[in-house]
Amino acid sequence: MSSFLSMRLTVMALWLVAVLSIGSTLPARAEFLPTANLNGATGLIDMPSGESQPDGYFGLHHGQLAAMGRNTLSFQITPRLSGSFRYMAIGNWNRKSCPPICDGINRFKTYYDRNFDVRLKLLNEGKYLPAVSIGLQDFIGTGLNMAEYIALTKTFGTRLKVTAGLGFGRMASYGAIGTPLGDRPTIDFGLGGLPNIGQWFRGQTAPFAGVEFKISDKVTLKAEYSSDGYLAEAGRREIFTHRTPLNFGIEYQATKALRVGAYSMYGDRIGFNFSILINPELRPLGGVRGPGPLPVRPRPTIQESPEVWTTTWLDQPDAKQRLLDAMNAVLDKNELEVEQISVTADTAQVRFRNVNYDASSQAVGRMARAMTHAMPASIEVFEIVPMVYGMPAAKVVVRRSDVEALEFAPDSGDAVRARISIGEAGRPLADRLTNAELLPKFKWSLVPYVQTMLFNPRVPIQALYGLRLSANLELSRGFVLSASVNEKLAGKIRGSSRNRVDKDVPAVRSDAVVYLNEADPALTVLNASWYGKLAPQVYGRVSVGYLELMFGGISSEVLWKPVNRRWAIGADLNYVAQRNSDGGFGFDTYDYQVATGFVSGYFDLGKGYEVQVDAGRYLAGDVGATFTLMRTFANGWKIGAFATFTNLSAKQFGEGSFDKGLKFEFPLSWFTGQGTRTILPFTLRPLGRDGGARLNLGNRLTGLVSNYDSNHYDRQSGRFWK
Amino acid sequence: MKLVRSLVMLAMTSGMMLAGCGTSRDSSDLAAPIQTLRERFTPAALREPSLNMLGTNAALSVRAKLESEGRPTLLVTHGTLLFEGFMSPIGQNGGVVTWASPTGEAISVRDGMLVASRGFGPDLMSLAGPTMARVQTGTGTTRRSYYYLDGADARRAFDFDCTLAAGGKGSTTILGKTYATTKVTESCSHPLGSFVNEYWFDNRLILRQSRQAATLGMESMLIQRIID
Repeated sequence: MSSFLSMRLTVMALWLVAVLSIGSTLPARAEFLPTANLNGATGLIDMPSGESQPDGYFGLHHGQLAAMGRNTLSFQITPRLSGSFRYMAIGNWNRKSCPPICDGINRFKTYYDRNFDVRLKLLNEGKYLPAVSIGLQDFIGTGLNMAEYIALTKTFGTRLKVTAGLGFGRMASYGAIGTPLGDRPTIDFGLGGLPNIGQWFRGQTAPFAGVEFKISDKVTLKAEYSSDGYLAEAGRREIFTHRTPLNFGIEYQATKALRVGAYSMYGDRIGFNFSILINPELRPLGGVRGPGPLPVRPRPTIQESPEVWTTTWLDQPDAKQRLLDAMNAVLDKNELEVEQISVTADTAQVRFRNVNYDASSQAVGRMARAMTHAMPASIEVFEIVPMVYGMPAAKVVVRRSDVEALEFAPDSGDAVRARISIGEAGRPLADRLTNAELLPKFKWSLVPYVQTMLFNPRVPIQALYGLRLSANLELSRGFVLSASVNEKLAGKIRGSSRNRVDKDVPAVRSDAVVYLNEADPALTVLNASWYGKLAPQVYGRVSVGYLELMFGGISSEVLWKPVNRRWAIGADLNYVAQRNSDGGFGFDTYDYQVATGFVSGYFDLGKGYEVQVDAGRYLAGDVGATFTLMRTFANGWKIGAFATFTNLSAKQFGEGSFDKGLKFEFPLSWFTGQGTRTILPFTLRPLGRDGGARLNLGNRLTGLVSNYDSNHYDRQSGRFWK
Repeated sequence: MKLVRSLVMLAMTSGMMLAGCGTSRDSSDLAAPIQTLRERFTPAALREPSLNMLGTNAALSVRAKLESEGRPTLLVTHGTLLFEGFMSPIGQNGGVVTWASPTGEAISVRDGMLVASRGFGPDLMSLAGPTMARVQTGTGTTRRSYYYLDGADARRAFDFDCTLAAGGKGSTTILGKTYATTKVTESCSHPLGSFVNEYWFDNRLILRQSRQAATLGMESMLIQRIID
């Protein structure tokens, strides 16, 4: 146990060290940067400001006022648009009302609420004009914290910022001055999950204002006049007393990422704020660390050594085997593995598997350098073809003389990219040799896992801990057997186990808690998959067996993905049955089978924005479409949101009205600085329901081959020489 | 079923003692990164005293061992990145020689002038700078362009204007052996910051020791030529 714990602690400590040291390699900067308020929004103490965070910044915030805690994820989606998700815990919620009234919303001792915010920066600060932002706070759902605002911020000199604004909704609950845009209709949030458009910027409005004064690079003083009267919290619920609208406090920038603050709030309490702002584009430990590459081995000139430039080697019967042996001798099979070699007198094509590198350009660069060691001097053209489960994903062509000449050229990354071509893999050269030692290939791993269940009203954060034993046997090219078993070691998911809302809607996901608790050990995956290139630019997959913890059956997929295009089109068709919740082999408990499938479009909008649309039939038999927008960073970070609309009514779906959430992918290499392809995915759903549910497959084709298209290559082309 | 469960538990518990092991390096697996982390955070360099802190006898003993191996050797130290190690040549391309440590860190130098580093993490990807012959003059100005990859793997270039200055004659002790040296400094500046490269040439005008900027914002790299 100690080993397990120490490993986890090490990883956690690393993460903490990484986060706290973010920016340590940045040049020193003394700008007066925008900061976050207790809501995790760019602002003062409790009020927003007109500024925005730098583009792409990702924030983790905790604000505490009396028994009210606010945990916020924020993301600067574009230079002007930002979004936040907040999970609030309001303690002492029913202290004054229960007894006698202990039902409905008063049954909660601590009330938890989920908020989504968006804000748009209308105007950047200029010499005379202030920065101007408008925002919607808690704009979807029950609207407990619903507010809208417009805020203006102007910087004077290098130390003073002044903010003024107008608030609506909750931000007009103190000191209102009128209803300039008409009355605010009574809110009818129904089952929640829908934007309350009719409320926005209506009803009473109230001014707010504040100042920020930087007394040193590390310390800032803040003061504000707040227009939030906390009518419920400071009123009938008596969580604290609102004595004054004035708040003031001090903030300390502990590192470039971590900021802490303490404030006198409303004349009654001390409030606290902890804010971590991460720039995904900056690895905390600098570049990715790992053993350096083989240097290029340049050829002697033909004048110096004419004998090495002959092509007589081609006449040797075992020429390709010798080349394959030479390649294997210079490559580390834990990084790159040769699958196939084909040659002519002046061209060599190597089809290989990238075992280790998160950047395709680095894998290609290392292969090119290895080829300078192994290939005869007459070979001038290197064709480098990354393979994924036997499927050629692209072809990178580079001239050997360019590799030789540019290795130490100034700006060598851009220089070599200008001379590389990337295209469809096509066929191997005429005469090829396959690496007989590559297959069958067996891989296994035994790693700890954590499974979380969030937002249960009684226990908002729950987790299971255990070990996952996985094995993968590739018997022949593209034919793979996979198995994975989870053994739970600690934890139990409490609260409501069966969340089914409508008896006419199959319980395809609402029993997830039952599976998590009862499946122990859990056979999560046991299947056979076949992968193949069906035609140029067209990939295929078929999987049969236990596909995921809750479903087994057959899954098929086709993907049309041109290497040099910003789009791809895919389709999947699956016939599956719901597994028993004990994690075993049976299918009889639910007696539910369904045909589910989608047509999917993938579009790279450029500048790191990617859109995916999946239209089809979901697990519960509902029909509709899922829209996903992701912001992707070259180093592997992905942050985005999705929403699914199907023919299930809001009543059939249940609370939340439709399926939606946030998606994250964190590359482990960013945190550790070590070269690894490991991705830590995380999906945050405010509510898990049966509508809009899809199979959880870990081997979808886009995830396997996208890394090798020209767009992905170009984002990290400088890694060719790493 | 009980037996199966017991066997699974036994296997899992054994696995816990290893906490992250296996041969898979797939994108969904943590085994390889965990192993790498364990290796990284117990580097030998952190457990052993610095070679530059050794007494004369101990240093000469190390030098004698290196000489017996008969390979040209550099001692390279990067304080910020906690690296100290011997490097030997592993390749040459044109006038640039690449030296590497047994653990995979590498530097590439042209006549002793650092032009690239690899395996350190925040590496110097390439460099356009003066020749060593130009530096040896110890006078005048030079221009340097440093090329890096940022955290998003995008290219970043920084141009520096530098001034050479003769630093005078003296002696330099490197791993127990003392050389008569002539020092040259190269002071470089950029709106974001500045640094000073230092070079110590011996009587044969061989660059015996240097401190050269590798990663901007970090300590300079100390490169000492131990075995020619």
